[in-house]
Amino acid sequence: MTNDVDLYLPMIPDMELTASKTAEAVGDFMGLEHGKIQEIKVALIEACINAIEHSGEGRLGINFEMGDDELTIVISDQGQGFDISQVKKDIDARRERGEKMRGWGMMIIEEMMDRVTFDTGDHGTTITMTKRR
Amino acid sequence: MAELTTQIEEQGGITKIHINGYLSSDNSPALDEAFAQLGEAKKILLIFREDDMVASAGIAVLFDLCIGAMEKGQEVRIVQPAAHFRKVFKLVGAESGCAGVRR
Repeated sequence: MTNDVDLYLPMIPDMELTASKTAEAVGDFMGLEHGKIQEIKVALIEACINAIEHSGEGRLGINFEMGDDELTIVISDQGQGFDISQVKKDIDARRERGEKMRGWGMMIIEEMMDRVTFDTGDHGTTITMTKRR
Repeated sequence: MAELTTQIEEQGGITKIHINGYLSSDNSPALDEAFAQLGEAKKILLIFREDDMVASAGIAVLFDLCIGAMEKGQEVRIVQPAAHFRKVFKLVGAESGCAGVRR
């Protein structure tokens, strides 16, 4: 059985906190461990900030799908999208130059969640990320 | 704007900065102000709460401030960050900044 929660947010600063509070409520409802909920909140904050900074138009759609064994969160915007491979190359280049911060959002999302996929293009960007129970 | 508050406490030659709230680039002025009040402090502890939240841009600001302090000869440690903080620090290669100090 699955249950869904849908959230639509304007692209304005601090909306990521509204998303993270919803994630906390959903995680609590599912009975997830506190540490896992905190990791989900960090990942969701990064995803929302990326959308707000790089899309900047329309609104942000967030779907929480509560499964028996996992929580799947789908974050969608209608912005211009980005080249994932280029972003990863840029991050690798920064690491090689010894630059420690900035542009780490995607890496943090992947670290905090169990599965993450990015679908991006002219139509917008969708991030699907899953945390197992 | 989401809030980040800091409180400075002196104890036995150590200056503690208690951090409370959401660490992002937008509310970093609270951290700037805290570091500006450190004066000649030699040993600085940054103390987070278990439920504090973080964005990567906020950590970038934090580490810029830490590096600035260390360049002035100040020793900075981050005390017992929550697991989600520690994961992020490890990912960005900054884990050594929060090693070894516990409450």
